[in-house]
Amino acid sequence: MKKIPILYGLTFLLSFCSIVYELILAQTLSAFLANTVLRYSVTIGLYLFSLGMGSLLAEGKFFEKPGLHLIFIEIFLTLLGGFSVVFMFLLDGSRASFFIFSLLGHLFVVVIGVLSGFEVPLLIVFIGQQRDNKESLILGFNYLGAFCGTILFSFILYPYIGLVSAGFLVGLLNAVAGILLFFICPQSLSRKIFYLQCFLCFILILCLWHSNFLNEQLLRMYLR
Amino acid sequence: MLNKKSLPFIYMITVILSMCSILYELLIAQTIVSLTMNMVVIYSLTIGLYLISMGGGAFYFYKFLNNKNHWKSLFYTEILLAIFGCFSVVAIYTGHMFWGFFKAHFHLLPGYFIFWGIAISIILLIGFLTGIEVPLLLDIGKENSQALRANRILASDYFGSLVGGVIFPLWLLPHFELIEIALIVGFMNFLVACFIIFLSKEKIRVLSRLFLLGIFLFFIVSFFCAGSLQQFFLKKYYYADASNGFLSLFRADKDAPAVQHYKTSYQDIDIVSVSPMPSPYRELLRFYSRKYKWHPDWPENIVLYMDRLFQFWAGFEELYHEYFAHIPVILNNKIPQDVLVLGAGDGLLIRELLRYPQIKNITHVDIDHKIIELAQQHPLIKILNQNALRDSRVMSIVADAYPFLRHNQKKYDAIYMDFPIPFDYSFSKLYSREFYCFVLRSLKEDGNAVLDAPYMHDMKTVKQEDAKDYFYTLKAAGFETIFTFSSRLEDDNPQAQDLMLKAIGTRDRLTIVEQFDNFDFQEKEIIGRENIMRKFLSDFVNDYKEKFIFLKKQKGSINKEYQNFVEGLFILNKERFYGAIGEPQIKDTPIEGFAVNSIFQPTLPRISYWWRVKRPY
Repeated sequence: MKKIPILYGLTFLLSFCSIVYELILAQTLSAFLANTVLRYSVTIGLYLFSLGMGSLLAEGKFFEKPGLHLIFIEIFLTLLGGFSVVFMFLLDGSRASFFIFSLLGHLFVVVIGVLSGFEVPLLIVFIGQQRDNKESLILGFNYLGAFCGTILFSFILYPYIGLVSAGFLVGLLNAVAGILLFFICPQSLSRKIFYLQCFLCFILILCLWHSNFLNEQLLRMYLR
Repeated sequence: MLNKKSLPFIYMITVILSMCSILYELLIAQTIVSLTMNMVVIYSLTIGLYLISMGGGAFYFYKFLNNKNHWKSLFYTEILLAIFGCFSVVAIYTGHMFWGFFKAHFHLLPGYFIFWGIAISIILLIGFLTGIEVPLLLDIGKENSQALRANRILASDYFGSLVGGVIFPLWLLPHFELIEIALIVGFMNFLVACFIIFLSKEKIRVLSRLFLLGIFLFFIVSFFCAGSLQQFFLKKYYYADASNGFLSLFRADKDAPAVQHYKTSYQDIDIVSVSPMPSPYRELLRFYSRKYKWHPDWPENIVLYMDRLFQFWAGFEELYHEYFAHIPVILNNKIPQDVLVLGAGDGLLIRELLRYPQIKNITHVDIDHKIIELAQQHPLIKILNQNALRDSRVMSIVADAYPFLRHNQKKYDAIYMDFPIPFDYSFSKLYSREFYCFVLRSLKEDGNAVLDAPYMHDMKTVKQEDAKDYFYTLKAAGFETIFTFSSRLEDDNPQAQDLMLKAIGTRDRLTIVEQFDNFDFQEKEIIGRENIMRKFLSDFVNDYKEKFIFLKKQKGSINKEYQNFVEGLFILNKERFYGAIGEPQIKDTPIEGFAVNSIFQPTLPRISYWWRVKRPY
């Protein structure tokens, strides 16, 4: 299989998922906390800050086993991003204090941002293995993914799918992207990890299947 | 020409330039949003187009600029950005000005093409130029040092975006006009351009130095002119008039009174002085309302706009506020003691509520402290609201209504909701099922809520689906009684008809032009004095018709008998009450789940007609 188109597709998918997670989190936080203007700026600002931190931290030894690092990042992102909304609902339902809720909510934003920040440098390493001087196209697909993420979230995911189910859907996309990774560097990744990815896909499909029921339960908890 | 010491400067330049880049993006998006209706669509489109053109800029770099002198390319990019960037806001305002001109002459389609053409060109141009920056800086970094830290350049890029993304809404927007922000960012680009010359140690010719000095002076002068430029465009927006020719667009309206413009973190508030109503409308208003008969000294010719949209006109606001405040009291057949008012920061609704001595407390919640301040201190508004917000019974809280109500434990007899039209997701949550659940929770058992329902008052342009939106959402929230009434004036009163007939005089033939938002207009001929009179009168009455929704927890009887709970009203009387409650109701149908507006899955704002542009009337 041709690796380069897969790499571009992967870049697109990963940046798409990353920004949609953040937008979902921004909307969720504004449903639970006050002050929308502040909320959005802080969330997007934290996201960009964390992306920067992720880029900075991606140095040196990090690049030795790019495939392994990338797959673990994707697994964490799938778990965190896909279930962040549900977690915030549960946290709110447990009547946690405003401070703890705020802290954990923003912690999600930061962690997802930092992990996403690792992605582009790693992907650049991959493309460097294939061809020289094509980082610009990686950056290009990165931007394109962010653009599609913003548009799709505002027009389709948020109004027609809802925050909770959108989280599951994007988590699923992320898991699928992780599976794509196995085509890029089949040598460095073990079977166990492959099965783990498939299992994650399965869980997310299950959640999507029962999304109506889950939405109802969470809403009931929210309105209490 | 470069050495290792330049590397930290390159990171610094990256931070500043990416900050400028995101500032332009947010600035242009904000400018277009302030002039159009659907914030979600416009914001997404602007940012999306900007990102795409950034990609285009990066592509252009790799195709054409890869082998040229990088410092020179950066210098030219920055100078171009400084020049075009500082004009970006002015260009978009000018586009809107042209739109207004064409609209007034019944050419909607060319007007829209010009406005959107200019707006999109600005986005593409600025985005393209800023897209060149990061790849350029990456390459400069590469040739500069062996220790290429691509990820550090990326990190600097992100940090710059972070700084820009945070200071824009939190510091720049509340304190500076958009024109001024464009100048500030353009100036920063210019300074970076000059710094690049210093850094690259190239020799510059005298002519270039003069050119740079000229640009510098231009910026200094522009900073001083920014205020008057802002007033120029504000006046063009509010006082736009079809009677003037094309060239008059470029002349400043010196005789028009200044627009009082207040900026807050949430909205822009404008108080505009308008010319008095012409006859016969003036007499007609005096006929319907006794406000100026009893209070001739009250202000009449000011209009308050929030985010360039009409809020109230002093001359006839009592129609809206009296119906809004008093009809629910009659429908509930009880004067409330504890009242919660959400929104309505201008204090006019509260003025009406304070007429009841039986009301003990009014809790007033508004998100913007500035409008409360204006209602308390502005010389004209505080006369209009009769110092309502300074009354001892009124407690004003500056807070977002949604979390306030969510955490509210107190129960009220009556809740009034007066919110802006939902153009964005942050407003649509105030019309969501969850919010209405909180309202229901905060009501006593026999209490009532009432809201002003936008979209509903003009059934001509609004579809029945919009009405159903409210209905399903309110029903899903648990309200059993949902009753609509409107601020309807009668148009069959013989006295009013006489007034209008007198004003028409002997004219018995009239050509009217009706313009629709689907870009066509129709000319109609009306023949006969009677028919002309009826047309004018019904237009007049429909202009002021707003719809309200009265809500109660249980299914019960609504009192439809007129009660005279309070004396001294300017407009509302027995006949008008029956007219207001007599309109057909929405049919009670089972809830369609997907039509319920939720904060987790919104149905508002509507995407259709996203290209519409704001107008002041």
